[in-house]
Amino acid sequence: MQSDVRPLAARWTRREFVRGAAGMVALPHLLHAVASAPSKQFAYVASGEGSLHVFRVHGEVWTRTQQVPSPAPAYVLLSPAQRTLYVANGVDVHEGLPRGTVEAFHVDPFEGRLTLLGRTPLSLSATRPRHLALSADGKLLAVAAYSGAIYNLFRIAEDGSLGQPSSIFKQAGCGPHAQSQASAHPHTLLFDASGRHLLSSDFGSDRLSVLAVEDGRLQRRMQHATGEGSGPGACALHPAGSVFYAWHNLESTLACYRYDSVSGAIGDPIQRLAFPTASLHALALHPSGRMLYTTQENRNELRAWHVNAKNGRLTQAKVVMLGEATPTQITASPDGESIFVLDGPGGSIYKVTADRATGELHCKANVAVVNEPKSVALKTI
Amino acid sequence: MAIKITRTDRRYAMLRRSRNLRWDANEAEAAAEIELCETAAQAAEALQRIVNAGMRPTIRSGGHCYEDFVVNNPGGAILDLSLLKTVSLPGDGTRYRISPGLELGEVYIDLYKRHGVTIPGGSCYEVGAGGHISGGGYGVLSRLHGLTIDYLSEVEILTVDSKGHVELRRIDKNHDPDLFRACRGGGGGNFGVITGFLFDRLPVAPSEVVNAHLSFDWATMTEDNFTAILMAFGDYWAKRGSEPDTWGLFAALGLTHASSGRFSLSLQFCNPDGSCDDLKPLEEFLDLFQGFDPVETRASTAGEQRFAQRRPAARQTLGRYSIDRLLWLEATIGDSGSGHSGRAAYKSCYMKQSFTRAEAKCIYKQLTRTVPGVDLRGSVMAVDSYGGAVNAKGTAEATSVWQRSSIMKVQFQQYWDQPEEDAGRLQWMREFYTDLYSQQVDPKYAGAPYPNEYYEGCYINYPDCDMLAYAFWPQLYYGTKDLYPFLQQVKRRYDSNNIFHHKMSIRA
Repeated sequence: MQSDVRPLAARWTRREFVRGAAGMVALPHLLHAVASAPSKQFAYVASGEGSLHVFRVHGEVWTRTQQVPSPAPAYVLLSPAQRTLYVANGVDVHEGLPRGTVEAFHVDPFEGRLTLLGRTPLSLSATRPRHLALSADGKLLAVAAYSGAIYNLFRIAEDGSLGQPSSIFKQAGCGPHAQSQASAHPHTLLFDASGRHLLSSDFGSDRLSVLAVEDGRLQRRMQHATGEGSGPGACALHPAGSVFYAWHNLESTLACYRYDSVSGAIGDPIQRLAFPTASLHALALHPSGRMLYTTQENRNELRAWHVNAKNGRLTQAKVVMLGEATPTQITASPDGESIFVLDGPGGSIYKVTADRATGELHCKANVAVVNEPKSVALKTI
Repeated sequence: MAIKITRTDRRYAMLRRSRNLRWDANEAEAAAEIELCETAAQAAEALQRIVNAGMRPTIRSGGHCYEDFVVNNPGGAILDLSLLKTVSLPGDGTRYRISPGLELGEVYIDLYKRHGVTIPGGSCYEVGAGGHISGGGYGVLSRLHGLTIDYLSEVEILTVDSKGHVELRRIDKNHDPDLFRACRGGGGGNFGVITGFLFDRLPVAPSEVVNAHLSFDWATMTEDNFTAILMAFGDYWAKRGSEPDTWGLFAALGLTHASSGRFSLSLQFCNPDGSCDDLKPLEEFLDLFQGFDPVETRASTAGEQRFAQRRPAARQTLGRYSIDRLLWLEATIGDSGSGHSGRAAYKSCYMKQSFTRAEAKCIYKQLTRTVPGVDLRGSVMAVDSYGGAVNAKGTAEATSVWQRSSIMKVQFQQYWDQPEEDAGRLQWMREFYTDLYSQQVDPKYAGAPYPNEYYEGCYINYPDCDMLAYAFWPQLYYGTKDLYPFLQQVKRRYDSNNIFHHKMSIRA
C-alpha cells in the first residue's frame, strides 16, 4: 500500500490531446472543465432505499434540499446541458411486465430542484438497468440492463423526455462462474468521443463490445474477449478518446486498452495491473485526463494513478485512506476539484479534494449521509 | 437460406401482421424482419443470424397467438415456420411427424388419409400445430383421448446455448427429459424453436360422429331458466360426464351477450370405439335441455352469431363510390389464410365443479347488462366440456399441463372490427371476468380463477395479459405446486440468456 504522492510521470500537451478525431472532440469540453470556476453546485444522489436526494453543495457542506421517490435508482446521469437528470430504475418488473425503467427529471436551472418528466419502460426483458450513457450532443440515451442482457437506445425529445426505444440490442454469452456468469450482464457503457460508437463491458460473458450507433440504431461493431472468468465491470474512456480502462472484477485486474474511435476497435491490453483479491471495483477519470482513480470494495482506500500522456499507461500515485468506509462507487466532479467516494454499506459520501489541473488528491471529508448511496451526479451553474 | 422479408419487401405489410388486429396499431412495435423457414436447417441458420445480430426472435407457426407475443417485436425478427410442413423425414421410422407449420386441418387430413389416426387437437382448422401443441393441444376429441401432448414421444427443438450458439436437440423422456416435459404444454416462445413433434402412437380417428346445434332465445330467457340451463350443463359433466361411455361427447355452450339474440349449444358425439352405434348417451344429454325451448340451428348460423357485423377496416371513397383497401392476400384468401380476422380479446378459466347458482346469476347479469354506446355483439363465454381422458392419472406429472381435475373449460371471447370500440368492449369484458371470479376465491386473489376447490386457473394457450396485473399470474397458468419452479429451472438451463421471451414467458 502506498500513501505518498509520486511525481507526475508526464504532462499533457495540446498535441497529445488532439491525437485522433476523438481528442479533437473532447478538447473544448475538457478545457472548459478546468478553466471555469463554479458559482453554485448541486448534487443528485440515488439512494437504494428508493429515493433521490438533492443537495446544495457548499464546499464540504451538503444541505439536503429535496428528496423525491424513485424506484430502485441504480444510476443517475445529468444531460450535457444539465437540464435533465436521467435515472436507471433497477427493477425487474414494471406494470406486470419483465422490464426496468428510466426516469427523466427536469432540473430547475437555478435551484436545482427535480420535477418528474416521465418514467419510461425499457424493452421486454431489459431488467435491472444499472448504467446509462448520453451522447455528447445530448440527443441519445443508452441504457445497459444488467439482468436482461439488453441495451436500449432512446432518442431524447426537446424537453428531455423519452419515447419508445429506437433500438434494442440483446447480448448472449456466459462465463465459467456458474453463479455470477450464467448469462451476459452488461455492466457499463460509454459513448466514445465521436458519438458513433458505444463501448460496453459485459461482466457475464467476459467481453468488451463496441456497438455502432447509426441513425438511432445499434449494431455490433466488434467484440473483445477479456479472458475466461475475468468479469469486466466498471470502465472509463480517456477524454482524449484513445485509451480505455476497465476493471476485470473477477480476476481483480485493471486493464488499459488502446481504442480507435474512427474504426470503433478495441486493441489488446497495453497494461494489466493485478490486485490480490477479487471484489467489486469502481473507477473514474479526472476531467483533465491526467489521473485515474480506483477503489475496491474490500479495501478502504482511494487510489490515484498517473496517466501517461503518451501511451495511457498507469503508474500509482497517492493512496487516500478512507477509514471505515467501504467504497462502492466513485465520481469525479466535472470541475475536477473533487472526487466523490460512495460508501454503499456505510451510507456515506466522502469528498476527496483534487487539484483541478492535475487531479492530484489532497484531503478528504464526509459530506453527506444517505442510505445506500448508489450513484451521484453533479450540476454546476 | 430462409426467405428474408424486410420493410422494403412488398410482402412485409402482410406478413408482419397479426391475425388479431389489436396488435397492428403501433408501427414502432412491429418486427423489423420476417424469416420464412421451410426446414429445420433453415430455421437454425436464421436463428443464429438473429442472435448474432442482437435481435429478439419471436416464433410464429399459424399466427393465432391471442396476445402480442409474436408480432410486436420492435427491431426484432419473426421466425415464421408456416412453410415448415414436412410430413416425414428419413429416420422417423414408424413414428408420426407433425411439423410446426402445418395447420391443424392439414394435420387431420394427412394423418387420416395416410394412417387413419388423429390428434385430439383443436377445432379451428387454420391454427398452426407449433403453438397449439406447445401449449397442450386440446380439442373436440380430448375427453375421449386426452391432450395431444399426452401422446408426444419426441421433440426436435433449436435451443440457444449459454454462449449464444444454436443447437438442434432431439429430446424425449430419456434425452433432456426436463426440457421434454417443459415442451409438453409449457407454452410457446419459452425455451427454443420446435421444428418437429414426433409420436409413437396416436388414437385411431373415429369412423363417424354426430353433430348437433341448438340455440336458446335471449328474448324469452329468464334468469331462472338461464341458471337452470347452466346448472344442467355443468352438473352433467360433474357427474354423468365422468363415466367413460360419455367421453366421446364434446359440447360447447356459447353464451353470447343478450344483444346477439340467441345463445348456442353445439356438440359432437361418438362412442368410445369411434362409431355412432349407440346414441343413448347423446339422447340423454339432449333431453336435459328440452324444457328450455331450444331451436335446432345450422352450425354456420350459430357460429356467425359470435361475430359483430363486419365493416371493412379501410374504407374510402373514390368519387361517388366507396372502395375497400385490402392487402392482396387478405382480399384473396383472408388474413394470412386464417379466416376471420379483426380485433379480439380472450380470457379463460378451468372449472372443477358445476356452476354454482351464484355464478350462473352473475353470468346472466353480465350477459344481459348493456353499456351505452358499446356494441356487445361478438361477445361469447364459451363453456367447453372437459375431463374424461384428460384427467387420466400420471399425465400431470409427465407433462406441463397440470389442470387434470377440471370438468369444464371456459374461454371468454370478444370479436369486433373498429379500434374505437376497444375501450368499451374491453372494459365490459374485464368487469365481467372480475365480477365472476371474485365470488368463490380467497379475497387476496379476487378477480382471477386462482386454483382452489372450484377452479384450476387459466389455459396458457389462451393467454391474457390482464392477468399480469397479479403477482400470482404464474400460479394461474402453472398452478401452485412445483411446476412453475420446475419450468424456471428448465429456462435457466436451456435458455440462460433469455433469448426467447415475451410478456408471459417463463421468468427465470
